[in-house]
Amino acid sequence: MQHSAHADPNTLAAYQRALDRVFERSRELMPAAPTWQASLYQSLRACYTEMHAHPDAMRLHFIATAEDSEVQSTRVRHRDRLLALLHDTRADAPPSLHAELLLSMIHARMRAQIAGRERPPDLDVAEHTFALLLFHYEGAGGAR
Amino acid sequence: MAGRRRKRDSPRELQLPSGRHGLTRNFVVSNQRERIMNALVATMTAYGYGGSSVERIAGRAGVSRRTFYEQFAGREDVYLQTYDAAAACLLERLGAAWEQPVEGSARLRVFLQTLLERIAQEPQLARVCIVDVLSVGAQALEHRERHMRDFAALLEQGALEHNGAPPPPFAVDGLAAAIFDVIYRRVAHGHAEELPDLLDDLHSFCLMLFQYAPVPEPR
Repeated sequence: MQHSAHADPNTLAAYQRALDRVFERSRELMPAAPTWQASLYQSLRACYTEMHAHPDAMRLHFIATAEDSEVQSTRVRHRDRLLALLHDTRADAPPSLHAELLLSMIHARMRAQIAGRERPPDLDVAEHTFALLLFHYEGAGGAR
Repeated sequence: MAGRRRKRDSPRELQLPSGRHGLTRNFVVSNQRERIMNALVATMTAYGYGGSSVERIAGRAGVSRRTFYEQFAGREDVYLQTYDAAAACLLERLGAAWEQPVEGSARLRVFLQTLLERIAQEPQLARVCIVDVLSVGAQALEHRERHMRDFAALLEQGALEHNGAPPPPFAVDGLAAAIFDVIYRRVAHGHAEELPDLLDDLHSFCLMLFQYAPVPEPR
């Protein structure tokens, strides 16, 4: 039987618009941040703030992406443009695979936190997750 | 059929001669199952899961519908068995990689090299198992979750042996998911052959994660 759990076109379009707003915000924030870690942190914070305000987009971004190929493609395209923005605007950017893995790890961590609760974590909990990986990456010897 | 040319990679190449051949029943069944599973991969590569009817799969495998249903309950069953077999084979090789007689971080490197090279060697199977799994249904997603947990457990075991202490709790599950995210992207774009090129950066990233002690997370 064909899997039927696909997002409806309107919800998917609204999700794409939410991601576009995150990207526009990131274009302002990333070049102005003092370090590449701070630039990704601010972009992730803008993303989570946007998702928190739009629960359907939150569900697609963190939950449905593991079950729906269209949502997955939409999210991966957004991640790719964020990574390109990071490397286009930051001379101090880490190796591109490291940045890609960091974003994926943060996403996986947030997904686990959201899937295990009735309500998504507050922004301060999410911020801790972003910081946990991003700011310790350098301490562990990354991007030297 | 006379005059029809077979593709060289067709599962029909494995087809047994018809009539009396003196082969055991078990051998014949095993051969038919292998052909059907190979045919599923070839058919999904050409038509996706939605376009891979039992007729197409059976035709590609060179078996009748009756033989197909003697071996499998249906299309989803073939998919799940093919998926499980591919995952078990990969996990077995990854487990063996941790047993290699090399020291320290070289063992982690062998583990990651095995992962990247094995997936790159079979791009069609990789696409069917890593990308198309999202089109198959809830049961396939459950199987994927189980295999991901097995992969994360292998990674954790390796990290434990490498460090002599458990890795940071968030690191293993997050890293397992991130590694497969990275692989998904290359396979989905048809660039599975690029995976072995990621080895150096993936190795250095994993080493960093395994080696640092994070601050505790708030409740």
